[in-house]
Amino acid sequence: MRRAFTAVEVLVSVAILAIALVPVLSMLTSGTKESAYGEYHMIAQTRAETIMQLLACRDWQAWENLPKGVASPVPEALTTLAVELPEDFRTRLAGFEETVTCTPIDNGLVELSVELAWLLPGEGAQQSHQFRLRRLLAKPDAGLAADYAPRQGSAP
Amino acid sequence: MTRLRRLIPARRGIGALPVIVMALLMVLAFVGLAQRQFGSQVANQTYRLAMGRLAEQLADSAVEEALHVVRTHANDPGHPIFMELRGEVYPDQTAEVPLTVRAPHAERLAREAPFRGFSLEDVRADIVWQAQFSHLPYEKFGIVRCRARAGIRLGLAEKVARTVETGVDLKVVLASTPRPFDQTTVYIQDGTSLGTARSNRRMEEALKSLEAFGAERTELTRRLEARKAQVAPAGSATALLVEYGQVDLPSLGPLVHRMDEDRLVLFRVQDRVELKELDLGSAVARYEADLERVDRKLASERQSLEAAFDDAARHRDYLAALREAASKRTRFLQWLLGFQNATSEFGGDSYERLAEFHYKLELVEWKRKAFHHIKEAPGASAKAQLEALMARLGRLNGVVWVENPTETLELDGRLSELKGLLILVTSGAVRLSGTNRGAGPNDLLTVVAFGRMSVDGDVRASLVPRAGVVVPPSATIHGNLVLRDAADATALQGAVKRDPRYYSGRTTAEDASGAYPDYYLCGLGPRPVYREVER
Repeated sequence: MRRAFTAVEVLVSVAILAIALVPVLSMLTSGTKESAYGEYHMIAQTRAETIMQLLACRDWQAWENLPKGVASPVPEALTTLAVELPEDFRTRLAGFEETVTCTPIDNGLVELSVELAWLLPGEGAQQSHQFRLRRLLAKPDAGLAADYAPRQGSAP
Repeated sequence: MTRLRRLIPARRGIGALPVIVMALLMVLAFVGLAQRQFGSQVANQTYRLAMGRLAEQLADSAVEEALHVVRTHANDPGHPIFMELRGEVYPDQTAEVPLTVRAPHAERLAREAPFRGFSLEDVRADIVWQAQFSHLPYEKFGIVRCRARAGIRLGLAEKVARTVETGVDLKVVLASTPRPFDQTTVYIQDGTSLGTARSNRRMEEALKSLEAFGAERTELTRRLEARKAQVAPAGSATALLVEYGQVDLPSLGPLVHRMDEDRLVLFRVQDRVELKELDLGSAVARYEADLERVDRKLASERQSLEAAFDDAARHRDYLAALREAASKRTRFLQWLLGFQNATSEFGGDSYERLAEFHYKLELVEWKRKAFHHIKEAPGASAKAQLEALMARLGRLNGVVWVENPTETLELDGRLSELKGLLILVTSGAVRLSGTNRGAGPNDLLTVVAFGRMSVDGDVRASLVPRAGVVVPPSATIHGNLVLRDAADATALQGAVKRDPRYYSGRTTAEDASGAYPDYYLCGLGPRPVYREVER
């Protein structure tokens, strides 16, 4: 009785493996990659949301001191307060950046934009990932600083 | 070789290895598919979550803008919100009041990244609850709710959406002298402090004296008529009779009446009031001193006349003394009429009519109405905090409540011009030095002090001192003055010149239609009192 595989069997098996393993493995790795992308995206969104929230909680003057209409680094006082990034987030990701832009719209109403940009390991600069969060914020006492003219005899 | 082949039987079909490999590959493919399925589910959930959070941000923006519209137009008479916020409120009223708002900037955001594909709907603001501050339909507090819904369609039947709702405090407060004290130049809540009992005694005595002088004159003219021929020099009696008839002895009884000695409010509405006129006690004392002198003289002349009744010169001396005695009393009674206005204005029931509004001057009322609260602290004086608030806002509109138990709040320097429709309420002392001298037509300052108040120079303000006030002779208040009492009348020396701009219309407990709506300021809280997110 012969117990070994024939050379033909081995050759056929290797050929099958070579052909079929590529899509199977890519199926496995693509799921991992997708979830990694989602993880980075979610971390970036959470971070942007907390920075936005902290900006919203600050005095109006803190927003007024931001350069108008141009992206500037997020004030350090906020970055230390915002949700901490996982330790390897900055180190693993190349070109990580976070900026804030304050654009005045109306008397006492501004649009704040927080933008985070990063590169996944092994990706080129042209594949930069970004998350941008925009929100309107209003000066809390804008309505009480105006010049009101008390008119007499104007009863309805 | 052939023999050997015969010994080893030849296999039929393919061997086991490719089958094993195929089976392994099938297992791997299954695992791969499962993982892919799981991964895509996670990614889908993550995406839905991310979209949900973006929807929340967009809805937040719309709510913020709606709130901004309410805030910036709350005091703008040209916007429908102005009157919507100033509607009267009654105890049984529960209906929500919709406010006219739009959020064009949030709608623009919804068309741009990262919100492209999102829709924004149901952006609205309403007064959801409101109540009267104190039995008045026009001064109220409540909650304004702003709401917006944002969402994105992820498939034919799938949509991720968030509704954000937030509520802020609302206050609508009269930013001028409380009514009806805005109608007076000087108002004294407790007039009994002026010494009304003594004045009443003097008033009654003066009326009786004038009556007695009249009777005495009648008697003397009757006797003179009888002795006409004996009066020397001859022919002077006729002229004397004319002079007797010309002595002014007015009948003021129906005009003046007793001041209530237990409870009394007093006010003056003249364009200008010299505060020393309010010093009833000193005026009565001066009057009493003068009266003693003139009455002594009258008694002496009366005696001389009786000793030589036919002497025309004695008659003339007596007439001069009578005129002076009568004129002193008449002037005193006419001066009292200024105070009498207070009791006669509403047919004698002025106390009841006015005292029901005194609660408006109490501290608890002001604290509830405050838009801003400043508290004296070590290293942060109330004055410095008020200056900072002024610098930040530029104009101060509304009620500012200052707790300054140890500090005298000096309204000078940078605080010498307080721009806006402002009611400044202090728990401690306050000093006004030429405050708001350069006030513009839109600046109305009302200062309510629960500590000692002192005034220097020209001050443009309505002053409500609740714990005494010092107004030196050189000081002039351009506005009005609402006093608790005038117990320390010597401290009231300057003048009050009425500023009619503090008059804010006429209202009753049931009807506010006569009020001027521009005098009401509407303030919304700086931070939400609640925030809710619905999926």
